Amino acid sequence: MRPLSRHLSTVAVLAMATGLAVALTAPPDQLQGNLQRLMYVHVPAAWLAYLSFAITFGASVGWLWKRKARLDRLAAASAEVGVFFTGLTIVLGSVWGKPVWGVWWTWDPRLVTTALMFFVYLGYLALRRATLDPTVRARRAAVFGVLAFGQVPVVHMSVIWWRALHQPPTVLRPGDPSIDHWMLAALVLNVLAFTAVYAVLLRSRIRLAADEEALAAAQDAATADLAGAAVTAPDYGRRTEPDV
Amino acid sequence: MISPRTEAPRPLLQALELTRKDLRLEVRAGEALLVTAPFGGVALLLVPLAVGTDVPMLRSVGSGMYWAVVLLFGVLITLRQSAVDAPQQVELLRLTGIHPAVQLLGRAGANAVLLLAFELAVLPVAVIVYDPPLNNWPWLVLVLPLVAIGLAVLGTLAGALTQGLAGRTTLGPLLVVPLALPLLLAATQTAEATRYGRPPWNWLALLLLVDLVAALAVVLSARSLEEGS
Amino acid sequence: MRRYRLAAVAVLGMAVVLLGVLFVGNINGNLVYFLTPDEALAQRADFADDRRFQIGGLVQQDSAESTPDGLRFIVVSGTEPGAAAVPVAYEGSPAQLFRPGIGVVLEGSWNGETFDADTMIVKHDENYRAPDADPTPAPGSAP
Repeated sequence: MRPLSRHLSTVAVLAMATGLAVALTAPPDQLQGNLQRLMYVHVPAAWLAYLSFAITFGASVGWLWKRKARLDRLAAASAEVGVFFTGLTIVLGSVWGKPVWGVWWTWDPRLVTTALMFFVYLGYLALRRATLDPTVRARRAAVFGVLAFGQVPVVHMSVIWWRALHQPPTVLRPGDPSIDHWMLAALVLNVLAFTAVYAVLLRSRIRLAADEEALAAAQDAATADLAGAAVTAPDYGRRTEPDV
Repeated sequence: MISPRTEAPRPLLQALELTRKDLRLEVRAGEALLVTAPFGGVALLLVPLAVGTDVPMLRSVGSGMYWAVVLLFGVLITLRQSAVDAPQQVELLRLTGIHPAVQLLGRAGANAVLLLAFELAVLPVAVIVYDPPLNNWPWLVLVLPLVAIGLAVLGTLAGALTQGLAGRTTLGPLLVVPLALPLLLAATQTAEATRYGRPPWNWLALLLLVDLVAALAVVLSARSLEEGS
Repeated sequence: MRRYRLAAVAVLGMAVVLLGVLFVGNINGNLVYFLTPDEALAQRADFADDRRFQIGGLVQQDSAESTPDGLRFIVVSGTEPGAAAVPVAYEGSPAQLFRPGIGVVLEGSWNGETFDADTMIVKHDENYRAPDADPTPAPGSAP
């Protein structure tokens, strides 16, 4: 387990370094010039947002089916990483939009639906934070994780369904990608590098969650010992939901 | 409330009975119409002072402001009902063996009635303060209930998700308001479309679609949300 | 309970039908981010002179000329001859990437036969090309 994780981090760092080098050496766009290079971070960040919410969805469905704590931790960790990368996508897109479009923000369907996705998953994280009992938290978060995913396809299809300012998909579309092949290679490499970073983040977040749970359990055990065997605290604190 | 009989009442009657219970509680407490509705009225009154009391501008933004207030304050009304539920009440309902979907639909029914009342209470304030063009008022007969139902069902879902949590009155709106965007768009675009003489059937269809999808989401997730399952 | 399951399936079916109606119907036409020049001309009667809206199209070749406080040019629906064209009077400094042939979205209102715009957003398409990598139809390729 240990060497594997060390390899994963090394792979992620190397991939990021290569991705950065290729992104800086790829030819600039004919119209946008060097501004187009923001694509090499904006698109991978957006891809990671989709990927992590899809994994949250899958893990939530899995939890409702199998009720394994591991799946709940996976859903939570993935949503956290996804919210970060959704925010990053919006900020990077805004930085690109100011010089190219001329505005930081506009009421384009893709922009609005992305912002909504950001807030809905912030709500998901807030729901997890507000719920103390682990089982209740896992159940409610799983239900909301399934419902919330319904809008993610809308975000991706928004540029096709509605007339939008945001450009339609360049790569994920039928037919030949409408992009210079050298640029496409740089983009694909960066997507892979970001995915490796995602895996590293996800893994360390899951470990942290598992450690936190172990710590809480150990603390519970410690306080129970303090009271002694003769005096036992009434058992409606942490373990059982008071209103069940 | 439950008369002794040999056979359990049909689920539809159970839901109606639960709706009546929630409404009776509201009649006694008067929270939705005596507190939240005046608060919505205050919001409508303050906005023009913040953005400038320019009459033509207010006339054009009036219907949008009205729907924004309905959405933001209506969510509070829908969450009110699940907030007053004591743990013992929830437990009792579960012990009676009522299907969780029926419980939630009963609550959604009460919420829809309360929201419609809230919409009707705030509407005169919006009309007086903003003086929006009212030539499209017959469409409101359809739009008001459809928005009330959609928001009620979504709010019921948020209430079930945040049942018993400390921060539910702020958390619930965060969960629901982003998902209620189609309701807001359809309601305001109906007014916009009728202003230029186009029948807004598409937007009414969108409202109906949101209502149906939200109701399906409640029915399908009710079993998974039930505590102790 | 079976009857209620049937009802749920019926509701699902209705939702699917409604979704289909919305897609076939013109809902996308009612809530659009911008109108194309031919739509703007067709709906000219709906838009009084002071009603603001967005119009989006391509800048016609050789139509741009600068004025003391901005630009005058023509936006067209497409490159083929005979495409609907709207003359635009834009007030303000043009966006960085503004050039003939590029897509623009303008915000403003009708003023007689011209469109008075005060906000310009350059619409970038989904094509990315390296300079001189392949012969492209886009004119004015040197930035």
